[in-house]
Amino acid sequence: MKALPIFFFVAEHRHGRDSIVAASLAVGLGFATFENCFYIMEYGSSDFLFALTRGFTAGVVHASCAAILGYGLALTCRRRRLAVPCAFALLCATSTFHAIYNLLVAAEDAWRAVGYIMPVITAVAVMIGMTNAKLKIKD
Amino acid sequence: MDVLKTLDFISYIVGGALAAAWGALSFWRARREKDGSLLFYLLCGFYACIFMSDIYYLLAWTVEDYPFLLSPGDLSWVGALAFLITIALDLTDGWTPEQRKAAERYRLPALAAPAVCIAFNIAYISIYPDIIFNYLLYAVPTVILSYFALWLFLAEYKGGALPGRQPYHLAVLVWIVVQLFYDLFSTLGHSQRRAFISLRKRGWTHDLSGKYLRVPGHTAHHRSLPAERRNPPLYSLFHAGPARLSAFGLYKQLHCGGCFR
Repeated sequence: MKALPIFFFVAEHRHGRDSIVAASLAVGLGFATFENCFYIMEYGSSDFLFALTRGFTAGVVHASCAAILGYGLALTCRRRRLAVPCAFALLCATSTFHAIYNLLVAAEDAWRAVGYIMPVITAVAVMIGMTNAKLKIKD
Repeated sequence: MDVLKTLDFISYIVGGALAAAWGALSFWRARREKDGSLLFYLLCGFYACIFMSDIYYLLAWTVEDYPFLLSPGDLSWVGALAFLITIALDLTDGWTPEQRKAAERYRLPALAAPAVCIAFNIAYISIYPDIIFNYLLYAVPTVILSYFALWLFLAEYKGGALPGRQPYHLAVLVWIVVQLFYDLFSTLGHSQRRAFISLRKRGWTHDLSGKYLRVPGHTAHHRSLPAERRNPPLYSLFHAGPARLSAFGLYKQLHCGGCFR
């Protein structure tokens, strides 16, 4: 569902790669914010540390998945024949990444900690990749 | 941990590590390329999907004790097929109208590949009727990919004027064939239907996602999930290992197949 605004943005507007990735990040973060508000309203914030950890890591997961989806769409958006299967493939990949996160944070002890660290590592890798890409363009 | 589950773990760990390594190599190659980097990004996506599929199954075995029938790991495998289809479409994008016309005559012979795939899938679904939706989700992209791979192989092999990427298309076909043969012959003699009926009698069922659940109120003689559902005979042995190993040749073939001269 949260990929639909990204698809709409790519389909309806002719933007550069940076704009598509930025829009995707915004959609991911917005969805994460909405989800965190929903969880706090439903379950309360009695365990503040858990709410803070979950809020941060879920936001990172959604933003990372959206950024990866947006970058992949940006590579293929100008060629409609490729965009459709590529979008489906990226959806499958990001869904599996999210599912791995869900599986880990639902587990006990060390697995849960791995689940919280995993999106942070992914986000750092994505940021390094985007920074290197920008430096390459400048050169 | 019993022997079959240990072999399963080894298979997934080795397959996942190799997929990660080849994915990293594809990503590095994509960063180096000025033209044609999209192909290596797509190949990186393919390996990433296989890696995540292996990781999910490993974690499901470790954390939850058994994988689900229909899981995101299978969705990732479908995503890998979709990446290969995207690569096939990208490889045909650069053709001139004359080359496209020369390739058209091989569309009909290429239908042999989907016909064989469909036959295998029908046989496999007859053995595993309870995961028909799972398998259809996987079978449709396999049929499409097999058609593209055979068509492009025939067109470039016979077409003459077309760019020579036959080794890559042949590698894709080999990957599909190994998958099909392995999936079918490793399950011959193992009837999922019989196993499922046996499970129902002993108080187990599964929800829509495929997760195995206790039937409420059933007096079960078995405390844990029966062995035939944890480790179906033969299927656990090197789960899709040959298919995964043959997939790693795709990078080599794409690089050496004359794409980026």
